Amino acid sequence: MGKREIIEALIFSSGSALTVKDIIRILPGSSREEIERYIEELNGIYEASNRSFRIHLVATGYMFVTLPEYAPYLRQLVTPVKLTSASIEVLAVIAYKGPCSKQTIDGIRGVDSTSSLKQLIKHQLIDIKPGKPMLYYITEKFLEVFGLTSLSELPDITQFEEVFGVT
Amino acid sequence: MGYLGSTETVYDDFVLHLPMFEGPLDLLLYLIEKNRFTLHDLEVCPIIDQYLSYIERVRSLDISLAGEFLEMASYLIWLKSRLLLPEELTYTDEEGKNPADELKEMLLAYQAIKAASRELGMRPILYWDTFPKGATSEERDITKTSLGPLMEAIQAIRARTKQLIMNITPMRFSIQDIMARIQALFSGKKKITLKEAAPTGEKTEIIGAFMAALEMSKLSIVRLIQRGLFSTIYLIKRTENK
Repeated sequence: MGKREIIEALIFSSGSALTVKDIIRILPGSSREEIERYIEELNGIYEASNRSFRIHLVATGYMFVTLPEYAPYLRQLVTPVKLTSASIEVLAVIAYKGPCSKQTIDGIRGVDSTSSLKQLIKHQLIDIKPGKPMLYYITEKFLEVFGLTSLSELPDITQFEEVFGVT
Repeated sequence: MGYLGSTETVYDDFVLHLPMFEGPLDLLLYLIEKNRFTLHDLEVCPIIDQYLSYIERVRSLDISLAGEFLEMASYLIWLKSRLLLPEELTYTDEEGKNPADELKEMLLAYQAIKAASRELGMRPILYWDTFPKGATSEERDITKTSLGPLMEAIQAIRARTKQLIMNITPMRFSIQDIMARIQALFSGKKKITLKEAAPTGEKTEIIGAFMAALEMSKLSIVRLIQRGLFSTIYLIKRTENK
């Protein structure tokens, strides 16, 4: 039994994403880099033995997730969250321009975003800052769902402004 | 309307794909791309014509169009009318901006967001492409509820209570009518029960009968007798008014 296996056990038993802080609390003296290295090793082992899951790092910490190729089976077991392309567009506006008002979102998209905003709030991917006007912002759940550690991990928007006509 | 120009043939191959346009800006981007313009060397007028003829065509097919498409159409008609004016008369707003440039800016901003959202949508999405451990037992943690879901819940409650108010039926039984009915019941007997005065057993009728009985008691027409809580209420006709 090594540190690597202890970390694996901790992540395995954790109900939600396990923070690096929690791992360090239980294994004092471990560094972030060391933990990262162990996770890489574990994922290497899973890959070599053809396992259906990997450990992912998201904003909230480490978690086990299944590989995308198993999705068709899992969607029959778990109610999947299907986001419409309109909703993803609204998410992109809030991720890049937020916190922003509904007026800003509608202005950029040229269409009304009410139903998308409702859907996104229901799935807890965005939330509202009180005030006038109310501002919408990205939640940690969004980062978790899109496999991001922070918004800065998203590609720079200016890179999209230069190209045109990508399909 | 007369803005069907030489561009009539353009839409034939894409009119069937209507739902793929998220909005008017999306449609404009499609037309620009189709004409192999870039946003930097964009000729606005042919795009406006194609947009308007597309809208015209869709409306002639009786497909209901989101208001935004029509709003954009009226804006484009206005824009084209400005662009057709001689250069020196060309309208600029307070900041000295050319309206065609404003449209380009709008399209550029939308185009960037569209590309960014496409990129975002290509990432593996948790609960759709990948699934975390325990996804089947996923439950909302109410201690983590934030403003958004809370407002949603309040709206749901409001909608529900509104519905209740709408369900209330108006009072169908008048006390006067029930009093008359009770009088009629007394022909031939001296004692009736409150239930007899409310034969349908409907709540509003029972209340009406009860109020009628109280009224008749006040007018010394009947005496009300009840032996204990919740037991039968009897109405006994007074023989004479004293």
